Amino acid sequence: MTSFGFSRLLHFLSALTAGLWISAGLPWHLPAAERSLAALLPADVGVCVEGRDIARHTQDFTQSELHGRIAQFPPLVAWKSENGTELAKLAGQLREQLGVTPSELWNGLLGKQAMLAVWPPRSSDAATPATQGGPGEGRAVLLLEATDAALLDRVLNHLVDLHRKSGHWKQSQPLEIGGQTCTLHVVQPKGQSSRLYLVALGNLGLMSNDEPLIRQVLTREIAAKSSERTLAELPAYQAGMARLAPDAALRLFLNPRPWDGMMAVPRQGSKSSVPPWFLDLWKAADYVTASCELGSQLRGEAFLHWDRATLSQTAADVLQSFSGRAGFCDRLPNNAWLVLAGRVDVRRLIDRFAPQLFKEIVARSDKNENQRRGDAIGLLTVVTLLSNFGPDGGICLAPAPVGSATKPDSAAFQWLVGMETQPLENGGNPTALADALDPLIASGLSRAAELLNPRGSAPGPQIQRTEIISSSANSSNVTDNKEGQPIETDRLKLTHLRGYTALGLPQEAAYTFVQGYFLGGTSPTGVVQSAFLASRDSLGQSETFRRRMSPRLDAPSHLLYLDLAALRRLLTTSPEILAPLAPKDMDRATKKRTLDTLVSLLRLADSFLAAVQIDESSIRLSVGVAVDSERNP
Amino acid sequence: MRCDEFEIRLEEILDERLSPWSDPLLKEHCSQCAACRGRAAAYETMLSGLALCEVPLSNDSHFAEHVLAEVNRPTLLRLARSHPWTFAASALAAAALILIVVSLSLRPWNDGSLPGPANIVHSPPIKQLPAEQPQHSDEPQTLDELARAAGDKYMVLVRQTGESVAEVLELVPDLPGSEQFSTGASTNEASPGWAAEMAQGLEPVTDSTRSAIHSLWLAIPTADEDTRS
Repeated sequence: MTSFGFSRLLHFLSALTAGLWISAGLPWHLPAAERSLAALLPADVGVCVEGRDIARHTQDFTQSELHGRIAQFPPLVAWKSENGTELAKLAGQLREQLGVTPSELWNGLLGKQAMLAVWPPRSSDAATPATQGGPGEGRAVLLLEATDAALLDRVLNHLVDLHRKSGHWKQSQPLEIGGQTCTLHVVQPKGQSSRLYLVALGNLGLMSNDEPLIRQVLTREIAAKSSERTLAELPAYQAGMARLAPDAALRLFLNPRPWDGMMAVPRQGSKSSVPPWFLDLWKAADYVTASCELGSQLRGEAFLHWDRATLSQTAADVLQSFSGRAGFCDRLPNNAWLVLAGRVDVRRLIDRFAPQLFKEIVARSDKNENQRRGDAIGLLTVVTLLSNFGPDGGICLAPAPVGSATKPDSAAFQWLVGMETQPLENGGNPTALADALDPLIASGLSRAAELLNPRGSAPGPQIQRTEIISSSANSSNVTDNKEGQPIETDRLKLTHLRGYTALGLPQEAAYTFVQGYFLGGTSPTGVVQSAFLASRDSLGQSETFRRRMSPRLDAPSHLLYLDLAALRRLLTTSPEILAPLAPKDMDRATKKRTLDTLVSLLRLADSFLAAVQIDESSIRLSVGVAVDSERNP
Repeated sequence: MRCDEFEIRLEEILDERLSPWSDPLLKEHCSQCAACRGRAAAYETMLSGLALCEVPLSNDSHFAEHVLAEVNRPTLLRLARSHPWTFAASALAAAALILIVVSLSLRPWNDGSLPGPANIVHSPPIKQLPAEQPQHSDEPQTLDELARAAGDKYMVLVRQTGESVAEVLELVPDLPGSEQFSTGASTNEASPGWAAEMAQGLEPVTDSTRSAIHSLWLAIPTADEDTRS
């Protein structure tokens, strides 16, 4: 931050902010780019960031409902009113330094196409003194395809004039390429140790710290052909861009290969060194891309692709342990408010890492034999239990099932927990893990209720263990079983406990093992409904949920989903659900203020979805917020 | 017999690895008290279920040797029977904790807190390496040359053997320049965590990129030239 100059950063941010606001009022928008600036760059780019039609995307965004809500976000409104003068002053300073208004900068210079590309430092390049500035200084070029060539010239000349005044201007020399001549401006903002090259050709503006790069780009722009492959022709670039949203405003491409040499060689003066596992991953990685969609919804996506054959076995095992589709969503109601679901193949991870853990315990010299044996037994127990769970699992907050919420002792919501279980086989006789764990869980929940409930309250009437027999989602089948023994009907055995009085809300606990799944929750009816839920009625198959999911993720492995609109309504109508979380000494006014802040945050958007999809050769990541004004006016 | 006496007696019986139903006193109480009957049944079911659980030992036969030398099933059952609630609660709590740890922060590769896998590799595949072994007599003299040569040799081995860098390091740990890789195994230093290590690994890229952008950033003159540094 210091090295960049704080005031410079503020100028940049103010320009971005002002551009966002002002561009909304402009009546025009840019046509789609006809050619990519990637066609002008050499293929050995290390990393590049590309903006396409930013002005149009900005305009779409500023006219969207989402932007309207952000603009009305109370803390932002307060900040703008407090800092409006400063913002205007910074915008004025920016105008002095660049010679353009923030709107002109945003729409005229950056609005069509912009690309920043970086290469690793050149190992030996006498022609480019910039590399002498520091051993790790990369080479960079900034390309701007302006909407107006005159505007570009004006900015360039303004910058050169300012550098002349400050004494940093070195020279302006004619540059002839392919029969065309342009002026190359050279400045030395850091003295003799660095040089910057600025040039404008038509509506193409270039800035770089490496003169050969400038010449290469101009040659391609003028001659439109080159013997060397361009970035646009690089297969990794093409594949990476195809993985992103076609209309993304911003894109990033990271090409690992140009950096390989730097990764393998220790850096002079650096205390840290590259971890070997990271080198293994780096070696296998083909490319990384990322994008940002700016419009009626905000969504960021990333895609990492690697060569499966090059990946080390350990890395492959770990990635495989977290891969696959999160099936828990198929067990959740389609009106779920909050979902955290994922996949962890515990058995595979244990296969891979437990031997090392055991060896460490057994070989530990600072413990006697009994202690080591105790540690080994403890780990063995944990390993044994864990290896029978997963890979699917998750937790969900949803509305209480229809009917149950009307009971006086029922809450308006329910929690659901699910975990896939592995069946056990013993001499050909299948024994479910459920049989081993069922009494354990029931006893644990009973003890938990005893601990949570106020001392002195008689546990007998408070804790009522009820066995529920059900062959459908109909809660009328709930019956008491005086014998306390589970009864199975249609392979569903549900255990139900009541009497958690100290949580501030009437809550229950129920669980069952069904079809290789442990399902638990705070509503017996909800657990039963989840157990018998048809796939077509589940969250995973619901149209709303799929619409909110990125089209690039067809089978997410891990996800966090928040129905912000529903949570907002829940907090507005039932603020008491936060009571158990509030500190006891918090006064009423503070509680109300906290609640208002929370509700205003939830009002920013109607849904939040973060998802990761892992398969044998890639990781896809998507994070986004969206507004559904039809469902949530 | 009262219920609290039943519970004490039940634990004693289980300590002896006997079935609750083999004890006449327990049996008599169970015939009168459904709650205690259910509790006795729960203990027996839980312990028999745990005894059926398979331990995953598929990867390394030495693992089985080590563990079985230290642990056997009766020992596990004895522990569970002598302190069933402590055992069950500890197991569940530890299971949850481990699950979280495994989910969120498991570092799959040697993070320095574990002994190097070289200790468990019993047949070092040095012979599988290509004939181009490091020539110690040709070691470069300057630090830069040394490090560069070492890095190149490791990467050559990685490419030619198809093994990971970590595995090559373990098989040929003495090659000059091995200190460039932060295995942490020999120093026992606390590992910074996978996220920090990833950031550390990306440093060559981020440093170069940051410095390159910084150099372009200087094209915009500031009113206050003092901030330029």
